[in-house]
Amino acid sequence: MKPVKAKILLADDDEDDRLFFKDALESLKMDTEVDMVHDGEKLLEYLEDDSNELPHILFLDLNMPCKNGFECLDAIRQSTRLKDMTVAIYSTSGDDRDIETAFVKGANVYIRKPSDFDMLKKTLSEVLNVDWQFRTGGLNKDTFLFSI
Amino acid sequence: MKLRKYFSPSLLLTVAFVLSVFLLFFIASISFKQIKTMSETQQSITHSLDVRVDLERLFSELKDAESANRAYLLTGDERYLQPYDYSHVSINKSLIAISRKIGLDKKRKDEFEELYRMINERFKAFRDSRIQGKKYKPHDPEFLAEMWRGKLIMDKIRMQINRIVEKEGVILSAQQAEHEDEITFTPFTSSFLVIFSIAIFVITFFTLKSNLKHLSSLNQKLKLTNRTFENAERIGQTAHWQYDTKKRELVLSDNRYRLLAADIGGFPSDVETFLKFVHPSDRKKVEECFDKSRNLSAMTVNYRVIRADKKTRYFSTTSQLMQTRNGSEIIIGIDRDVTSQHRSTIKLEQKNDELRSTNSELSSFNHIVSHDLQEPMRKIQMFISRIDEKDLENVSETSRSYLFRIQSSANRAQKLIDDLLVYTRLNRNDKRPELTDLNELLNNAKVDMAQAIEEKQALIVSDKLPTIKVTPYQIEQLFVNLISNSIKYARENVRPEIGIIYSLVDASEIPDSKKPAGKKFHKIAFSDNGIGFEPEYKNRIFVLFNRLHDKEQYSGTGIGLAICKKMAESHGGYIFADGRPGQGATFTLYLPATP
Amino acid sequence: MKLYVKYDINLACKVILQEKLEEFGIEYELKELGEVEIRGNLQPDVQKQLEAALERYGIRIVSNHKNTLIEKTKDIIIEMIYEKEKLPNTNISTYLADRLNHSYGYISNLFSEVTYSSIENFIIIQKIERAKQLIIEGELTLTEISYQLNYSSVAHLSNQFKKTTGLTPTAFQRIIKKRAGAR
Repeated sequence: MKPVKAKILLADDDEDDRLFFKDALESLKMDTEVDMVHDGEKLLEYLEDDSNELPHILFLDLNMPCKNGFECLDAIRQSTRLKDMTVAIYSTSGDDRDIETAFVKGANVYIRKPSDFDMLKKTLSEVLNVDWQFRTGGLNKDTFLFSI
Repeated sequence: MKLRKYFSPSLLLTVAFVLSVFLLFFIASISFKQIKTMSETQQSITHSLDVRVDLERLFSELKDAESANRAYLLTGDERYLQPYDYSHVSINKSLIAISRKIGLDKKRKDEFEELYRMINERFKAFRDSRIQGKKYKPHDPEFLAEMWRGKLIMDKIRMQINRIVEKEGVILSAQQAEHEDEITFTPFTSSFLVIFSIAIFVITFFTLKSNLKHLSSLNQKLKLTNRTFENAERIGQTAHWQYDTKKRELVLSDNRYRLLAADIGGFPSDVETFLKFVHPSDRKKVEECFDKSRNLSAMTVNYRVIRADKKTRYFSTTSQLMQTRNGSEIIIGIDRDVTSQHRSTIKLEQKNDELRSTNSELSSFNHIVSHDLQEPMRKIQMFISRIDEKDLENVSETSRSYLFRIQSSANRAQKLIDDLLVYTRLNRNDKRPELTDLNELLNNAKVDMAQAIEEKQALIVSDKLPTIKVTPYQIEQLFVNLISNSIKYARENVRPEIGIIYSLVDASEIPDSKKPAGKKFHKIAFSDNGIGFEPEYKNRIFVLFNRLHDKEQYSGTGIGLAICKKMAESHGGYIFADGRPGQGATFTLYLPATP
Repeated sequence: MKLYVKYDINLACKVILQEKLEEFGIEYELKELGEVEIRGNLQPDVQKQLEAALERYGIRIVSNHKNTLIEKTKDIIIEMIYEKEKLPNTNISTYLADRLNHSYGYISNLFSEVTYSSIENFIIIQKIERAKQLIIEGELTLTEISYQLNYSSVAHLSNQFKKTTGLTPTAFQRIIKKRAGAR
């Protein structure tokens, strides 16, 4: 009954943020596998490529070149193949409007990027834990909303 | 005067006129007819009298003939017969005359013919007596018998004449009676009709007179209205005109000339001249509007004119087609000189453009702050947080302290950015007032502040709040800020207590309020038992980035209460602060009960 | 159109289980929740087939005693939350200990060991899940929901809701409404 190995995808154009994310995940000592893409277009290419195993959870930055996070979210929720994937928005913005828009567009998790590494670790661990509960605990995915 | 409702004065006059003419014709024809009948009666009376005279004369001539015949019989002298012959002739003449006068009336004619027969018989008797006279002597019985027969005939003639005369008398008197009837009837009807006519004339006269008086008073009013209108046009810088589309006639109001800086009537009032004053590049526009106003909808066109004094002015003309009762189509137009409005509008638009560009600069500034500035700030914090405890041991004491200071400055910058964002977000046009239960918002605020409340063991006691129309997230934020303010400025080692008291009050109770009394406000007062403040700072406390305490002692950016003020004001409300050092502060919020 | 369905998971699972067991011609007797007694032993290949058939419905055979105990604990908690009348008068720990015939300490440790999460945490998650459902159904007010789920006040429910989801119940409700409107 251990948490199944989680496959994680991060879409973020900021190199530093990708680094923080990777380091934080690794230091969590959870059984995870993480892939990264640098912008929205590449994210959608990755997801549409059948050779890639679909991630259990996608961390999606809002402010990205080419296609921003909201556009990607729309595309994901409209695709029958991808619509059940857990999407966690991972953004600098703490604007209520952005949070609400993300949820209304179908995001499951909204993470405001923390400004402290320990906080980041804590946040990621919590998000993965909640996601795991929803994936395995028979909870209703339609009402899976989590803001941190 | 009620009739006026049903008859226009002109109709009334026409009716009176026709009636009068008709009555006059009626009177004239009746009089003519009566006069004609009277003269006819007169004539027949004269005839009857003539007939009588003729008959009398006839009888006397017959007597003459008789006496001549007798004289002859007595004397046998032929000379006596001479008057007899004359008589015979004149009797015949008389008979012809009478027969002519009697006319064709059958009864009279029969009587007359009877007389004629008798007269012939008499003459026959004369002739017989003369023959007998030669044969017999005057005292012979045959002769006497002959004479007797003559006398009998003569008596019969007399009787017949009397009868005729009598009958004529009867006819005459009947005619006279009839005549008299007519004579008496005529003056009655005539005078009645005359009086009636006079009455009509009098009524018509007075009606005319009163109408005339009314007309002249209306005329006075019209003149006054016209003068007022003219003055109004002059004062209001407007003018009007009418264009008859069929007659192609243009009538301009006096002020139209003045607006064009021309003398009244100083240029011909026709369409060509009208357009000549319009700025050449606006002429097409004006003509188009003129054409469009022919289909009954009001059209407005703004254009420039070049006045007679060569100055350019801005005109606005509204024109509309009007159909008159007699079927002619008139376009009426109202002109306004809108130069000053136009200029102020242009100025306003410039100001608006400036404002818009300032606003968009501000909003892009917000975007810069929210995203581009936040990212590096966050990263500074992040990198500092990644410096290991172990690494810190290897740097000098001073460097370590610098690092801590960098961290605290970065944290503070982050907090400032966050607060500034909340503050600027209030400028966004996403006010969406909806009926909201303030208790729920207060509850949400408490949930938001749950950690701080728990930490400080704060006690919040609230009255039941109303349900009103507000933009929920704004008021929620306001509550959060007030609660967080009270908790932040709690006295050391004293459990924070916040009391929230609600009442519905009149606008007059609000200090410094310019709202008229009678308007109701929801008053929500937040009182705490914190450190309070000097009353003299009660206004400064709401100024952006204004802090009453140094930041080492109390964290905070000095923005929370500024946000509260802005939110209260964006709801048409007010917020006031009051405090005593060491005793606590009260923040009183007023929100309009009727927006 | 959106249908909101209310189902009795226990009953559904029980029916599926009965159907499948009968399909394989297995003699059985249903005991407590999640416990089936089989007459005799199952052939390994039959057991595999049965496992595969039940897997489709998310039903797993947990022969392990520890796992059974944990599954039972979960079932009791869920049953408790979804059917108000089953809420115990005594506190939950005593109730669980009574129902499962083990000390609460033992159950609690076992639960944390196997699921990486405490019983308390599980209860909170399930309660909030139920609260979400009730909010969406929209028949009850927050006060009524907090009463039904045994919270001392709306504030208490709201606090826990916010802690678990990061959102206030009103924000949650607004988002769900807007989502429904957007689709």
